[in-house]
Amino acid sequence: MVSLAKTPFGFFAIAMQDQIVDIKKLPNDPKEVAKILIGNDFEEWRKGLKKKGMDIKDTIFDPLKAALLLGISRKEFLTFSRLVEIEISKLQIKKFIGKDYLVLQSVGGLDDLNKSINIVVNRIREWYGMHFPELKIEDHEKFLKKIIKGVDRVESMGIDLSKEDLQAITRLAEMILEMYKTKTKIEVYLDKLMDEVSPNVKALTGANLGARLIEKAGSLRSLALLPASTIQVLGAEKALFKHLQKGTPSPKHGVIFQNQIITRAPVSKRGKLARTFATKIALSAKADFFSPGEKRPELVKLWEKRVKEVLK
Amino acid sequence: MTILKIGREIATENLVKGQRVYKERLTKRRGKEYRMWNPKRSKVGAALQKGMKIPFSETWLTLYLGVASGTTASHISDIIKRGMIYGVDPAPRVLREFLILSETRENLIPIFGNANYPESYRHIVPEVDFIIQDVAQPNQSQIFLKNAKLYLKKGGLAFVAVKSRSIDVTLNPNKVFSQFKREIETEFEIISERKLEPYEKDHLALLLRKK
Repeated sequence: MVSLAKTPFGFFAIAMQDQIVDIKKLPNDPKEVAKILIGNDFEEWRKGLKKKGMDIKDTIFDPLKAALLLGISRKEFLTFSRLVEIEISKLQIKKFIGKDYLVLQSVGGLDDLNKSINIVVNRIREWYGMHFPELKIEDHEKFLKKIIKGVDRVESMGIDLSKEDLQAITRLAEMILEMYKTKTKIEVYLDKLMDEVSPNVKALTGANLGARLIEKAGSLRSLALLPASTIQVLGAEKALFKHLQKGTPSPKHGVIFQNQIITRAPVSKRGKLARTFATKIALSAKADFFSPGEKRPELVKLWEKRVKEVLK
Repeated sequence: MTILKIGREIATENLVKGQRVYKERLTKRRGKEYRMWNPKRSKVGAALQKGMKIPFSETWLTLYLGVASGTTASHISDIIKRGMIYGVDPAPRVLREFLILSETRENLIPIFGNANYPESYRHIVPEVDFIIQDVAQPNQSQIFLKNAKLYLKKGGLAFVAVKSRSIDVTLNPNKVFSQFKREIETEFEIISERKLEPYEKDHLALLLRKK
């Protein structure tokens, strides 16, 4: 019986009484060693030994003890393994952070934009209201354009403002209009990005909702690994935990309620639809993560078929 | 000793002069620089603040499961100067922070890995003297036992932060705590325990010794 050791200094086969019976030394360069340790070199080496007829234990030998057997000191072991593992972590983190993180940031950026726009527009309305409270335009963008263009004020209870006073307000308004333009540009970008990152989810949910789901899950990988039942209530955590703790009715849907079919369905059918929709999202996310680039139009068809059945 | 009581607060002697890891305050005492240990940011800090005694040694090899960005690990790094901390975390965003910290402290090793699969870091982690676990997972007792079985030496110590709300939100925290203790008691002796209120809600810190 031999035990194998996988260490930053090399691979060892160790027999009874701590005798090294086979060894594959690794280079003295942390970067090189990092690449070897995350590759299949160890597996290949193990297979080679098996072919030679060696009887190998399943458990892997302690790497420090193995290094000591080779005459490497504890201090050397610790110092070198630290350098190697730092390189390994760098390589793996780099590999792990994929394009879905761009989706996360884009969604976050849009949220921030929306929040900022709302805060500042409320300020502008308040501010401009001193001057012309009778101007009622619900739509923010139209309102801003209007006050930048200038309004003929007749019989207003608002106070008079000088050109300079008004300019302070309109400058802010111009900045917000610019933010609206930026928002549109990011939405167009996100739409394209989703084609690349998660085309099947996008086909089912649209770019916005799909991106939102990836954001809630944390990554495309996490979304792909979530059960449909969790996807169904993503974004309804407050209601879900209240349900679990206090026994209130369970939430039917979280962010997937944005889907127009579910929104427009009668209340009695929404739960059913949300459930089906979530299962199809789960399948699409799995397809997107595990076989990137593959289109699965049948998932959308299955969803449409079920919608017809439920709404019949 | 490298842990110092300053008034009601605790601090560790800074291993890297002038370095602040998480905007903690630095203070000088008898010519040495100390970093204040914020119990609200660190469960080990909270447990020590509440009177738990951990017999640290300067040469301890420590496996830290759920190291996150390394707030707590930085203080442990101050304490176990000549030892090593193997910090495991599966989240790239926080491990990135810990990696950057590791490059400034020679007793830290970042491991991008999942504590559910302890064999996956066997190429680097030897038998250790101490395990810290702060993972907030429903199966945290299993994760702990698996890692302790593979890595912790006989008689070795472990600090475990049990977060009842991550195990089962619907149960009374005390029930979750006693269930956790039952699950580990055949292999571990409980040396000391502290609830972490007011620093953390529904958390129990356990200091264990491997039988």
